[in-house]
Amino acid sequence: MTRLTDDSLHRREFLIRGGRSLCLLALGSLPLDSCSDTFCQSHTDYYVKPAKMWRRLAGTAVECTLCPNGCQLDEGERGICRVRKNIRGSLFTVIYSRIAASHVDPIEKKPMFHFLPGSTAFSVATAGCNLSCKFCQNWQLSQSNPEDLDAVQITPADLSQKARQSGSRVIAYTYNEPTVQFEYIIDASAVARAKGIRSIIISNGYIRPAAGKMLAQNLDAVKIDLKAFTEKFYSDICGGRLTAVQENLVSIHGLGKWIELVVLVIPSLNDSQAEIRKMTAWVRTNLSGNVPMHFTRFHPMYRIQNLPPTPVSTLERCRTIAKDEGIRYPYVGNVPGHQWENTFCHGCGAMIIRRSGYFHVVNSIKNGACPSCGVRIPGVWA
Amino acid sequence: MPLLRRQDTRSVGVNGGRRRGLLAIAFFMGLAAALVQVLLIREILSLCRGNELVIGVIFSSWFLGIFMGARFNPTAADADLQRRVLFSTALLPVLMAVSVYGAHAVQIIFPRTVGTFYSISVELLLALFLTLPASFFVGFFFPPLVALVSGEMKERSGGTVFYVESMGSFAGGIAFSFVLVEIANPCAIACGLLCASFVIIGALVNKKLIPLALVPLSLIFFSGSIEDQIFTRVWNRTHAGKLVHYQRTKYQTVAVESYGDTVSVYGDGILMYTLPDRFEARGLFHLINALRRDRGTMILMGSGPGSLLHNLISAGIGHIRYFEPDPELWDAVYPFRARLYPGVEGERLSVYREDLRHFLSRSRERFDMIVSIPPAPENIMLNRFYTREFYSLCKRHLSEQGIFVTSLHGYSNYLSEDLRDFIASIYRSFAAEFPEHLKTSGETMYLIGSAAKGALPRDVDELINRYKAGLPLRAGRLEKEITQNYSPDELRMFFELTQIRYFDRSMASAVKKVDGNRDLKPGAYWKSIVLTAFREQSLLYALIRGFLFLPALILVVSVIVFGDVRRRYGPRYMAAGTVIYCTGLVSISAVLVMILLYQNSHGIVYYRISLINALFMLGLTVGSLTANRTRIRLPLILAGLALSLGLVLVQTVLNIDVLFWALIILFSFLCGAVFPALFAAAGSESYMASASVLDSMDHFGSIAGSLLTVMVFLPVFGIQGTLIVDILIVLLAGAVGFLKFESS
Ligand code: SF4
Repeated sequence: MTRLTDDSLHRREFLIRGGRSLCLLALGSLPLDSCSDTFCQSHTDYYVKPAKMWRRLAGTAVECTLCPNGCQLDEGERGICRVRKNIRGSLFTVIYSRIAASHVDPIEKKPMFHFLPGSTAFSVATAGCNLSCKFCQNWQLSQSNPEDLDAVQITPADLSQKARQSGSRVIAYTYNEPTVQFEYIIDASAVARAKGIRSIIISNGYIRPAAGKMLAQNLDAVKIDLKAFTEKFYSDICGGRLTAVQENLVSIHGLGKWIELVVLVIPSLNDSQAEIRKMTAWVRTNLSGNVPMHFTRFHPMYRIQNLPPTPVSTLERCRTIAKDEGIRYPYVGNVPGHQWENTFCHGCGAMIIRRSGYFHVVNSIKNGACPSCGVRIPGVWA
Repeated sequence: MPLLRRQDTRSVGVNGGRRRGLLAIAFFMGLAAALVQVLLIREILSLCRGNELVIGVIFSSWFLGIFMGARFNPTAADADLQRRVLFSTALLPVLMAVSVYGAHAVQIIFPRTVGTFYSISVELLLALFLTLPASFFVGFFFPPLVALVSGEMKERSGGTVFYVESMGSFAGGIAFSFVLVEIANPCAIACGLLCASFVIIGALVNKKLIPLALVPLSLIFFSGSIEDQIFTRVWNRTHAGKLVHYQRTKYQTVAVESYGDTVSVYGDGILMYTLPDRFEARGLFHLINALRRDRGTMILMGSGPGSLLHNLISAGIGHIRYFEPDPELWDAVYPFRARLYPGVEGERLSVYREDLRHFLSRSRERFDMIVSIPPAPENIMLNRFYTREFYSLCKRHLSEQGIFVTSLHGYSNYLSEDLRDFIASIYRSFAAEFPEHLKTSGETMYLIGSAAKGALPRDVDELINRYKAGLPLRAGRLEKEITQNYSPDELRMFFELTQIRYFDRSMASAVKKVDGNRDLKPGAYWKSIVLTAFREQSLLYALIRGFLFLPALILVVSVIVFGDVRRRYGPRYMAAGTVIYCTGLVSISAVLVMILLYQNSHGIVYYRISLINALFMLGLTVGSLTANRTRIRLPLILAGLALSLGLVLVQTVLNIDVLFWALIILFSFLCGAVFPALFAAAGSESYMASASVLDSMDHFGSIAGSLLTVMVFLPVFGIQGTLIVDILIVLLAGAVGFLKFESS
């Protein structure tokens, strides 16, 4: 066997070692875990803030009590939402004011149809979500680690200023799940309220009632995605629980906050007549017939790429069922130009808001009432 | 591609009937293998979103299976040899059916949420496992058959068996490409092969067995309904709707599903469009109306024959040429379409059943508007509708004030790095051809370009004004009958201000760091795969991002294997192994490149893969035969190989059909010549050792070549770069061959 030098390796051994090193080098190039403490330490001033809802467990472990996932985290671990982390035995949010997306959207795009129609919302998002819906439209934000996204710091004070500069009367915490921005929203919505700017969240409603109440204190309206009405759908498709969302809905409604519900109707997964009937009956009984419900059209998205869009007739049928069950304002959504995107007075049936897409809104409501019959229309109009 | 060659075919003595029977088996196995391979490609492409990555994996697992099958078959007693050969002969058609329909059954065995795909990593694993059983037996039958034929001929007859098998493969490729693809389903083909195998086995062993062939023969008549049953049951259990029609066309498998009052059309398992689609088409329809108020001539591709087409005809566009490359797809959808959109046929619509690029490259006509709405560029065939070459072709066919509109996968509020790079590569190509352009925001983006200054509005307000100015022309009909409750303000949904500003900001830097998407450097195709892997958080994403991993892994495994060859057989065999490894690697790499080149110029390639393979096999056989008889020197062959790759490089520019086919034959001829020349050069004091080393290294090179080509060479270097890498590898092999076998 040839030797390289007297005390060097056999060629074969050299090759094997070389191979191993190459493998390690190559493995090192795999982005297996891009999360590190360095990130958190180097961003401490900006984005890492103590979390509000958690409790200590044995040793340095903690339990997050913000959402029903109830993540129990050892030191260095992050929760399911990717944005709350146990650092040296305490829970921190790592996305405080770390804004990855901001846009000015018509409020109808949220969709919110009974809340300042025709206004715009300064909309912001961070990384992270406590669910993992296979049809998420904003998966690039919700299913990413914060350090993988480009972001800018927008402090609570800056946020109100930016909203005002954009001509928006409303700040919307949207795109990803606002629950995981808990501390930021509490601070920013308080600042906004002081400056006369309204705050809303576009949420999955997957938050513990106690936390939900704290979050809602400075909010003016809440839009919640009621994703289906079976536990199976919530666990298989979203990784959550329906009962937790129901509990929270009842709790927030009890606070007197304006609520609108969105149901994304997905062919064969949550579109049965029986399910929609049960859902709408529950809403009328446990919340109110005045809560608008938007039955919106599914389009192939994220992991569910190979399913056709919801037939418009299915959405129309959902709307009819909801009406039968006593929901006064059921809408067909994501179908620009559909007649049931308009608002009709529950008293006299007159068209009181005409919509075509979310940029064309003709609002005839006068002082919160129907111009034809004078009945009060539930919602926030001014 | 493995260049399996056996040597020394001098005839000594012959047992005619039995020998012919054994050679008939060789021919049959070649033919069956060619059919199994191409059918598996089609079925796996349907299961796995049909991209070239999957084709690469299918090829590599095919070679792996053959390699394992051949290895697994040690020398055995004569009776065993025959049993093994006969067993493989009868089993291969059965395995064909099992693997082909197994690709469907997988969806029931491993259920997934309706509407989702398996992750791309799982798909690649499925491709591997579905291919292995059949390919294993394609390798398994060979050594015992060689031994049997050698016994009959009193000579070493591996070469003869190989030639006959190759001729079978050639026949299979031709038969499929020109006949079977149009008329037979996999079940019928499997039954036909089983029938043939019974006849051959009966003739060889016991004539009483021949009537058994009647069983599969009669099954052919029921194959249509057997396949119907399998297809329909699996579909209905794994999809939202009910299957109402399916058809295997020569391009793809078309399925039509009904759900509620809608019908959806799938090509190779991927949703193409749903009818009726009046609300989906509404936005684009009005955008087109706003862009062009006059009654011009227009090309429409990729929208499906639904509301957009219907509305445009109803709205009085001058003349529409609608392109649908798969004629049978049009026919399959037609009955549903005719019910949903009665009366749209007429003088103002011409349906072209051909590839749009093909049409444009031949035509001299000009059009007022070209609207291209292709599916995402998840394979090379689709990528060619997103390249600079395509945009340039469209530009050349626009009339003076003509407008080009194309769609691409957009974004919801945030552009991740992968999505940004993907869009940037397409946007860069588009903007290079259409400096004057508009882009829309949203999940589906539209890029709108014109070669003429002032043909496009400056902003959305001007667009709305144009629309309003054009309203009287349409006499209110658009409003009332075609799309109800329309307001021109809906156009603003295409141009959301902050979204567009965000896009511009993101693109400003992204287009500088990303290459434009080109025919010969299909960056968007690869980025689309990366994006899919990212979306699915699949292992493949980690592999791609750490792209050193695969080459390093292959390098390490190669070093270990080469070390082993050297240890066991000495440096001369290691050199021979190196040469054949390089040749195997380059040959499959070049075949994949050829497939891509064909796709680039002709569109859907599937039914031609078997022809390309068949010609390749033919070239290999002839090359091997010739080298066997004439003893051409190895360095000369390798130099010729490099030269032929150089000619393929020229072909990437010239794109001449005849040259393409001629080059396949030339290249494969030279590949075929390497093995005998190397065998002779390496010296064959031990026939088995030489054959074993060369055969293994040949397959090993092919496996490495298919993986490296689709995962590294093509994404990083593009088509021409891959060819240059291939040439360098051949030159390296040539240098090794010269130094080791010629200089002494
Ligand atoms: S908010 Fe995040 S960390 Fe807390 S329980 Fe929910 S998923 Fe877990």
